[in-house]
Amino acid sequence: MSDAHGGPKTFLGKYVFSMDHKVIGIQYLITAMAMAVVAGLLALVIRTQLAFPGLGHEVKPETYLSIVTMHGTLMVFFVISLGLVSGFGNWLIPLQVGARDMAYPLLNMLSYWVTVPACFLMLASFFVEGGAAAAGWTSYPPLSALPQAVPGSGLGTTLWLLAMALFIVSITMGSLNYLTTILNCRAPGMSMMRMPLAVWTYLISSVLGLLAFPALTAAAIMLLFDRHLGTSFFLPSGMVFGGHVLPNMGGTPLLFQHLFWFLGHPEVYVLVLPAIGLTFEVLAAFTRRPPFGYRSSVYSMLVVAVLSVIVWGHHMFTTGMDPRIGEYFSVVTVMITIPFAVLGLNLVASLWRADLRLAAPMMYAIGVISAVGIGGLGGLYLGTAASDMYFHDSYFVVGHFHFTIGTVTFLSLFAGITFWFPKMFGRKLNETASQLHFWLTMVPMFTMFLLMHYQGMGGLLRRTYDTSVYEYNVGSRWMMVPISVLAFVTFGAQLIFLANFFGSALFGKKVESDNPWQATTLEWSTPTPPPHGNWPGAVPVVERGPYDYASHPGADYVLQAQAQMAAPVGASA
Amino acid sequence: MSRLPSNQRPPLGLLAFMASVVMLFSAFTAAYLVRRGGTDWQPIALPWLLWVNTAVLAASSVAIELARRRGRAWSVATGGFGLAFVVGQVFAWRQLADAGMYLPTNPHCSFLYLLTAVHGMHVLGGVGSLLWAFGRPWRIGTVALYWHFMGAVWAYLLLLLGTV
Repeated sequence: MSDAHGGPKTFLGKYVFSMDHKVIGIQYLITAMAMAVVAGLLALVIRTQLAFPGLGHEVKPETYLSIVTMHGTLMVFFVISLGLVSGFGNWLIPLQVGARDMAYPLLNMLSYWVTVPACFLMLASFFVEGGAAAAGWTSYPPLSALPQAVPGSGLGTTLWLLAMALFIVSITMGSLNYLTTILNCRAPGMSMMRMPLAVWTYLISSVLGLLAFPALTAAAIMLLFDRHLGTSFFLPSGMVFGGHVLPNMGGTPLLFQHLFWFLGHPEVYVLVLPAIGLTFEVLAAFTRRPPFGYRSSVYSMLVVAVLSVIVWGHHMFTTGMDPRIGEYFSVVTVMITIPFAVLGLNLVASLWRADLRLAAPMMYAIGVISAVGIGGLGGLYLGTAASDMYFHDSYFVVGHFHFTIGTVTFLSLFAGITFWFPKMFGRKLNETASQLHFWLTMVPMFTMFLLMHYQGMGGLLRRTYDTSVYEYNVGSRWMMVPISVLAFVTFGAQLIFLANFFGSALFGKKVESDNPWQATTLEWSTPTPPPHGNWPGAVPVVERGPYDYASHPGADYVLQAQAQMAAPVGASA
Repeated sequence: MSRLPSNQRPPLGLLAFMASVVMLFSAFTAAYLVRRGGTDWQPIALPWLLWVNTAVLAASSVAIELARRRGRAWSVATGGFGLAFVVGQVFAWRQLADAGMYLPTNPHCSFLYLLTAVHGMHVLGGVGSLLWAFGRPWRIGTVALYWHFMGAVWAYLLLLLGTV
């Protein structure tokens, strides 16, 4: 474990092959931003093709499928997972639990340097023969299992699988670190129930990740065997390709779907729980009081986590599943609304009659709460087998997951970045630019994804190259162009954010205080930016809970590590 | 609790990793059971070499216990047994191939190759971790835990692949 003094001296050791969790966190964040630009540009290609099908002669149907696949893959795994879980997880956890670094700093560095080749492999697949993988971000066989199926099923899919394997290795190493750091390396006095809610969400999310990702590993290995070694794990008998019957026998493509969604559904909570965790942190500082219902939030998240691993079948209602099994998956899925409603209400109740400080982080946080509400409601229709039969594979689904693992996670990332930016870089973001970015992001995102719900109700199917040739969705066709315009506005707004981020990190106004938001958790008791080892002296001793606001006369807030108040205190924390 | 030396810290990271490995083999087990329910399932006989390899792996578990107590010579023996196990598994594949049982021949056969390969990779990871612990006796306990775990996984796989 690293020491308070004697950090690395060379440039390479300090910024490139660093074992310092803060540097690694920022490396992850910046990697995620780069990948977000690529994934965002892909979204613009998709929207151009959808709004103006005649314009897109450059984009052939098979290219369109590749672009849809890569947009989804990059966004879910290489932007949101890297930014929210690997980025903020790394940067925040040791600072908030009072550790000098992660439990295994070398493993931490390796996890980042495994991610980098994963990113390159994924991006390289655009430039190989046949283009990038085209079987959707879910990579269902047989499309993904037959290299000859479509151009993207060739080398592109092989690279996709290898990149995903590296990504899983990286996220596993990260999760091991988070779990061990949170359970073993907390500062003295930091009991579990004194941990900030963000740390709780990372704990739960890393356990979920460790237990759920292996299913995708197994599926990916078997898929590679099917593709390159002639096995028939997922390939059924009697498939005909190019006039020839394929030799494969008896495999079942449904098996892949089960394994994929055993990961895929918990993955949603791996991403959404930390998003809610960061939001709670911001809420506390900008409402000047503890978030409503700390314990009920913790217990609810634990229940959400347990339920999330037994509901995966709701992605597969239309696969000819036995209706009794479908009923089971419907019931447990809808059961998630109970703990999730507790979480949502705790978020809303945290705002109730509070003295809101509407700085940029708080604006994003309120955006998160709104997106959780709207996104969650759509989930009820998709989690119920009867209505999902109609909505399956429609734009209703697209709108729904862009709200939940799109808008919720992106807005929470922005909330987190604007909140902790002064601590990360010792400089301030431009508040006007942040506010402008907030409005130009939130309004278009909410509008376009809400409109997509209506298009889905009208029957518009996802992953369709040219929707203008079908008659059935004529009623919702007018929405195509507005949604695409909004997509361009959203992308443009992100350029404001990127300029603000990099401009402020280099040239922003220096912060005068180590605790500019007057927050309470441990990271605000470090120097700014925190040095190698985080605290120059001893590790702080934690004296109280994470959100000690307005409970002591004469003090608006008390830092977690602050010893007993000098003034006589009536109500103790 | 925050700064326990590593020889006293319970290897929580390893326990979590083992949980993850258990989930990996659970996923393979699920796939195996689904596939075994198919109509084209033809059970094949396990190559007899697997039983020799099992004995070698068991011997390696004894050796790592001795390495904990008697030092690094037994570490080398453990690594030797571990490598011998993996090489033995490759020869078991040769036995299968000589019997006309190739990877795509039938599903049971595919799983036999697949699961031995995945398990073998994990054993090689164990051999690598012996290097990490070589000359650092405080680490050998952690490696031993993983090593026995790999033995247990192998026993489980034999049971799974052998019962038809």
